[in-house]
Amino acid sequence: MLAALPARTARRPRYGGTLHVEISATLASLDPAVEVSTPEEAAAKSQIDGLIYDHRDADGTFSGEQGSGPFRVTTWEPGKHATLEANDNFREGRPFVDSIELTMGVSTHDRLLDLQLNKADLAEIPPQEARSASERGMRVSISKPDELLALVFNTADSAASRKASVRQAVAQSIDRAAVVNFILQKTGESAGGLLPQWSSGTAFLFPTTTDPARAKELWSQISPAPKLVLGYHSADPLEQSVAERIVVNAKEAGISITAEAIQNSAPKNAPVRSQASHVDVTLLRWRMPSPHPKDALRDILLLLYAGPLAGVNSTPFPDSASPQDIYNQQRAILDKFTVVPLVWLPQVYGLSARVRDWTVPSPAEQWPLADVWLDTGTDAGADKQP
Amino acid sequence: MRPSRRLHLQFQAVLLAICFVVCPRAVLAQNSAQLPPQWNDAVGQLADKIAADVSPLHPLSLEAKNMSSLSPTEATSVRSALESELKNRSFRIAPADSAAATAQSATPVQFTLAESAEDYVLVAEIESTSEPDSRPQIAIVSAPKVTPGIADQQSNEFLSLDKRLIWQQPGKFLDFALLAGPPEFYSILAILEPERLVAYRSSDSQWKMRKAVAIPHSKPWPRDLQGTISVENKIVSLPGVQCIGDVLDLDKISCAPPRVLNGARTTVDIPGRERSLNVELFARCGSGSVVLASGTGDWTQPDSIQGYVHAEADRPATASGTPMDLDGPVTALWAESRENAARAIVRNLKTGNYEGYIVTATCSH
Repeated sequence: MLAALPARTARRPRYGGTLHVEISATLASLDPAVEVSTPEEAAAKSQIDGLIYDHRDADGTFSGEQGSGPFRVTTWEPGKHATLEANDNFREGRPFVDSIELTMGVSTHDRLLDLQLNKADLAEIPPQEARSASERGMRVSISKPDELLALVFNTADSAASRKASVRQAVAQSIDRAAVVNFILQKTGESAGGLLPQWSSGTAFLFPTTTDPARAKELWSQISPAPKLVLGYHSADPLEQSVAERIVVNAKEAGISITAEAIQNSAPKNAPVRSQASHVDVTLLRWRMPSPHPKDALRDILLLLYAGPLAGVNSTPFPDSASPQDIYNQQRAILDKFTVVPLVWLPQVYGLSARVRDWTVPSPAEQWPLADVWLDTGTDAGADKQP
Repeated sequence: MRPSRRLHLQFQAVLLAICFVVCPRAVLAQNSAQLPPQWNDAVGQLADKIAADVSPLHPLSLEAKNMSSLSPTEATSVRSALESELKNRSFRIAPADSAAATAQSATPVQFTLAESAEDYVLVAEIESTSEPDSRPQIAIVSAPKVTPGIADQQSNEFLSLDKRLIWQQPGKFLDFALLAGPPEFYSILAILEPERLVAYRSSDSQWKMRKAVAIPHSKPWPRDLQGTISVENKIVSLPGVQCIGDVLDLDKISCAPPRVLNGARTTVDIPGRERSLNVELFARCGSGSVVLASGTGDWTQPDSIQGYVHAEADRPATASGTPMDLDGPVTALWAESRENAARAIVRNLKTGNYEGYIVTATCSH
């Protein structure tokens, strides 16, 4: 009778099996003293730390012994591969899977291929690839949109960017809906505020519509009209596509702007990557560190006031900020057009058919791999207890 | 992840502690003007903010939009309450888009009921009649998230199922027992959590914690931990641990390794639901016993409970009546001492809370 059942009739979790995970980042070490060099590596390290440490401290760092978490590292090949085995004595109960095989440095193309071939059970997928992956029959898990892609004007170095009318003209020329519909293939949503609707409840108060006529009118009043340079991260194909789209929109409004790839030369742990001095405006990707609007807004305010808004008098942001305070803070910043939210991106994961009880993590949450179990289609191991 | 979740849970716990008893009753009230006290406060604050921005000399034309997960009925209740509050502040409400509103140069107010990660958010966008092109004034207040719900109306083809929410909390719990203890009816509620057994006493229409006892265990619990309270046998059972004593008197309860190993649960063969949770009740319907079974998704999906009639021991049970939908997976299902009821623990995927229900199966002939 079991053989005739559909694949997803399992209810109670089963123990056993090896979960194959593929990531793009390459980590040299899990040693806390060794700093990572890219945001991708930092994110990957955080995910692995979440599996091998018992808990996180209030400041977000992991503490205690490696191996005190649900898994312990048994094999580590720097930058290539790791094996994590289930910790039978984990405080919150042994994970369901016996082990995790983690492969690092896998390209997007290879991750998608391995998911299709069932060589991988879990892999991150760029949001712009989510729709095509789903249409090819891949099992896709999409988070709430929690990563902001925004334009940030370089008011420190660029005289043009210091003119509010320049910033406003560029902001009002951008067709966010086109970015969402064509570049992101509808995986994401237009951003008007610094927080998404699901987090703040008030994002709808910040318009996301384009107004090319107004942009054209504003630009025509600027004399002499500057030639702007829009910088994007050279290794980020999504940023490149969005930058090129912004250039098209801006030119339709008569704005002279070119897109230019820039290297990520920011110092480690810098709040906003440094901008080449000739770049007038750059793209910024910021992932919410918390689903709570107050905490998330405080984080991006720290980034902005340490970077593009340095020196700007900030409105006090009380610890007990109300939804009205949160709205007012965003309004005060966005009215300056120094930061122009573009789109909200979700985190997208590809899953193999046998992965069960995967819950897409919210901001600040780790991959719930201790809760995941593998449905192998047989009852072997179903009642195995730790 | 975990600290953040804990903070969130603590926040929810405070809200739940405030409104566990009061809110559901108030939200369930059919009278649209009745709201939970916290909602009345929020609506009153929003009316105050509107009154601070607009003179009551002109009427308001109020348009409402619901972007939250509240039902249209509940949203209408909130709007009605706002209208009442505004009238209490000497405002006249002109019907939106009406000729009267235009003729009386009413101030347009767009009222939006939205939802953040933490609260419901009530927003008023107040247009200026003197400067139509100016940006509207924005007034925002929040109201605590109270899960509204209306008891499912099930068809009574054969078995009809009804559920009653007894308890909800952010933290996981495995079972509960509602006890009649003199002098009040149902005055004690015992909640079995993974690490402790907690007794609450009903006082002034609220549950107040009375006592908690830790449950000792030498090894970490299994990840799919199950545990149950048997009031009749005075035993609380978890893997490798039995706590013996009356849950009405936690001072006298003692926990130790079981003298007899816990027996495996007896489950009924239900085609298509072999690995679901199911429980056979003491009640009968026609010639068979009544069985309740959870659905076929995993723990990340909404669930349902379906009633079955199990006529013969060596034959599968057959579905009877329509399933009762739930907002999250059933993590435990136990037979109640009442013959036609079961206790179900559900993890509500919308709120993140664990909820304890008494599910009653009624056989219609």
